[in-house]
Amino acid sequence: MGAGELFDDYVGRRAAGARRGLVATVVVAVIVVGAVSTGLAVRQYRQAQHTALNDLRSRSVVAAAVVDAAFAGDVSALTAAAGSPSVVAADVASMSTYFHRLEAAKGALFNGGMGWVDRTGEVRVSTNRAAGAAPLNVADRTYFKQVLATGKPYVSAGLIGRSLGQPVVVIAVPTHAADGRVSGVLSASIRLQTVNSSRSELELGYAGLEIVDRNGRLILSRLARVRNVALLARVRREGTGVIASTHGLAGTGHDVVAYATATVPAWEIVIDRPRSGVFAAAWRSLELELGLVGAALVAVLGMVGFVVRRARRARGIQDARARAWSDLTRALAAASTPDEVAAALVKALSGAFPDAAAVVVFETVEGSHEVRTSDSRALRRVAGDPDALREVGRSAMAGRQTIQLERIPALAPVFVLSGRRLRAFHGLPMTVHGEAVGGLAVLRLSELALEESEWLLLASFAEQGAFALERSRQFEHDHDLARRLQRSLLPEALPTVAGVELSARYRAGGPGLEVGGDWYDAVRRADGILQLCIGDVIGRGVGAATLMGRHRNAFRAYAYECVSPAEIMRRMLRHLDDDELMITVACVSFDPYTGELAYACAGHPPPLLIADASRTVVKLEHAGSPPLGVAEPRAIREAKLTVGEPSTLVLYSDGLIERRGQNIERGIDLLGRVVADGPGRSIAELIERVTGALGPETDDVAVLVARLALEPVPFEVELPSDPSALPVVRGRLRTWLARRGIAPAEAAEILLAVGEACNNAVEHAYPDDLGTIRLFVDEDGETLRATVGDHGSWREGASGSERGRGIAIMRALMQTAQIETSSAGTEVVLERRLHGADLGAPAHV
Amino acid sequence: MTDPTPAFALQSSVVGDDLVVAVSGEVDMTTAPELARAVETISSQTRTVVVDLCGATFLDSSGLNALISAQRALLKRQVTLRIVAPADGIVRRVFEITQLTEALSVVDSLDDALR
Repeated sequence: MGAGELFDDYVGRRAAGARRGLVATVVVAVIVVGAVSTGLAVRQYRQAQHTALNDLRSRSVVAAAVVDAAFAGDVSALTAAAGSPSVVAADVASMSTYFHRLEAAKGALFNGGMGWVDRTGEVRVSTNRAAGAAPLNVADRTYFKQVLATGKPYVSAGLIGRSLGQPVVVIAVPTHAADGRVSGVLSASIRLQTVNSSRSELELGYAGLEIVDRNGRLILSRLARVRNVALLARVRREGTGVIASTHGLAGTGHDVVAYATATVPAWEIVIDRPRSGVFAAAWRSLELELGLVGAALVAVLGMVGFVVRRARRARGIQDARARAWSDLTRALAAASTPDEVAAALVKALSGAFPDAAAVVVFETVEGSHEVRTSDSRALRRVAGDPDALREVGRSAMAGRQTIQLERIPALAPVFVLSGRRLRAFHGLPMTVHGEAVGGLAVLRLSELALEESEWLLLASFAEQGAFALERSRQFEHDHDLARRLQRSLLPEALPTVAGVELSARYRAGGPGLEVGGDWYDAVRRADGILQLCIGDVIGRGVGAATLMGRHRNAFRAYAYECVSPAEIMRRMLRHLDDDELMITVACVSFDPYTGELAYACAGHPPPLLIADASRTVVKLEHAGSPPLGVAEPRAIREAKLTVGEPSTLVLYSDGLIERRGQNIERGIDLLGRVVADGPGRSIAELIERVTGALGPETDDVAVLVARLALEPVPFEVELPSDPSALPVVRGRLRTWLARRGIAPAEAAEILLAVGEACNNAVEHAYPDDLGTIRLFVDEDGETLRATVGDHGSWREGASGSERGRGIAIMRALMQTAQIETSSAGTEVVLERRLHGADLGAPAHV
Repeated sequence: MTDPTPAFALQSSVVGDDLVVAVSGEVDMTTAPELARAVETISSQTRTVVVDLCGATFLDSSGLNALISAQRALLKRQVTLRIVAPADGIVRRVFEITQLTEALSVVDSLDDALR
């Protein structure tokens, strides 16, 4: 099972749908439970209301009963008083005394006073009236009429007492004379003010108690008239009951009204309270219950939300892990150094474990271990402790394990340095062929163990990382090797050539690029000729570098052997195998004594020759051939030109001027312009300017620059003691002399004299094998001086006279012709005054 | 090179009883033996060999030595050697310096040599 499949399994997207269904179910359930609970609470509320109503009704009934009982007692007391002898006798004087006495005993009951009224309605006795007060008749009072009419006790409605002038209730009973005939009415009144003032007492918890008399007046409220006639009508009609919702007796408000009838006084006992008061307790309990239900629902919904959020976060993490995975595979494919692999792994770990710090350890090419970490806050201080990090790396490489950091002394610093935040380590090694090449670790704040799926993810990261690491290590190893090889194959120093300033640069393409096979070389031949070469093995890596080394060596060898660039190239062809890579080469020879330049170009961009003063750019493109490896020897051509003014010669590899998608000619022209615009620029500046204009190089860059100053330089060559070398040297010297402004006739004599000196060396110095002849010629405008030296011993030749002629010629043409012989060799020194100066007499042999 | 010297070349022609060897280019150690061979390659009718150095740009002691030894060889066969070297030329100067103008019968022109 591949790591990818493992991971797909791990993501487990199937679960998401089921989770969504579950959440919906839970929400519906919450709503149902909420509705039912609310319903129950409301029902309970209604029951509580009902209870409250019943309670109120009972209270009204009880109140009515109490009132009835009280009046019944009063009636009995009064009836008893009516039976007293003074009353029966209608003895006014003793009645008054009797009443006062009674009043003193029962003042609390009949606080409105007592009185006796005769049949005419005349008040004959009254405890309220002073003796001799104006007569008072109550014949018009209902109570008087009722008692006389019925002969039964009667309780009046509320009325204003005539003697008191205050609201009273009058209780009246008939009095009987001794013969049983109704003699009058005994009345007692109860002052309502008094009742009113102690209303709270009377209420006894009967808040809202009202008593309505026959006339619809409120006994307890100063006989105010009941405004709500409809309600009163209903109360009278029904006698006993409760109305849950109505306007009150005052005709306003939203009240509960309970009522009962006290039959004795024919009063309606009404308890009229605002609903809010009556149902306050029920309402409070409803509120409480609803509050509890609401709180429970909120709690449940909160839990559901939490679960959903957690599920979402889990899904978010899974998405992040899927992203981290695909990013990782991409990044690893592009990574070419272990460092880049580690960076990709750190990024992937950080993505997959957002709440953790990531650590990646890997073995470098050199075999040491490097640690990379994510840029997490908790790790910042840990990163400053290399030992702690190394320990984390070691633990990761040791095997799959979870460690409580705090408990392992070596790892405890990580815990401490992270501000006691990173608690748990989960790590595992990256292995290749069973050998750990690195490790991964996530350091987490939580001590929770990793889930198995998380381990699987880590393992697949490690697996991918291990492969990539191994590949990049191999790659870097190769790269490093190739680069070192290439460096070692490039010349350490360029030759010193009088009149020519050489500089060269090799710049490897960016990191991670395989090395190319670019090279350059410069050789100063013994004959003073400078051989320059730049080449590019088309290919990369160690193979290309090796091949390039071989060809560079071939060039060096043949550059000493041959002057002709084309010939050098032809000989280099010998070193190509059939299956080898192609090679582009440009070879240029330059003779600083003659200014002659020859070149050949095999598939290489043309070297440029830029005249410093006139800034003309010449592309050396007239001796092109296919690259080596393709070209036949005869296809290799050579072209020559003479450099007549100070110039700069630039050899370069295509990496300098070629950019993907750009015309190569543009780059070549740009290079020419850059050189022409600043002849004195350093090679580094030159490269900077070109790459600045074209964009950064993507390939290796090799550049070899020769500044051809064309200053007068001494003619200084070494030549083999081979006769065939002589004509060439003579020819070059002839040109050198001409360039020094020496007239042809004089030059011919000088050539002859120098030639004789050379002849001697060739003929006599090395009779048995080839040796070297050194020739040095210089002039200062007045005197020309030439020396010809060898390391041989001038043995006597076959003919002394032959040798003598040569010497004679030298002496005839030069002011000085000295031959100095020593054990080290022979040196001929010639001197001549120039420009027609008197030669004097020819020297004789 | 930049002042290209003509390659060494010999052209032999028979004018009556005379053999004319016209030399062009440089006569030095490398070419002198060839010159000597050409000069000594004569038929039985040849009475005089004229070496025309008008086209020679260079002649050093090697050339002189070759001509001297050729003259010796020719003398044994009663053949006269004459040399043409224009006055004022560097080649003529070599003969003068070595005082061989007379010994090698150096004349100014081919006409003089064939007279």
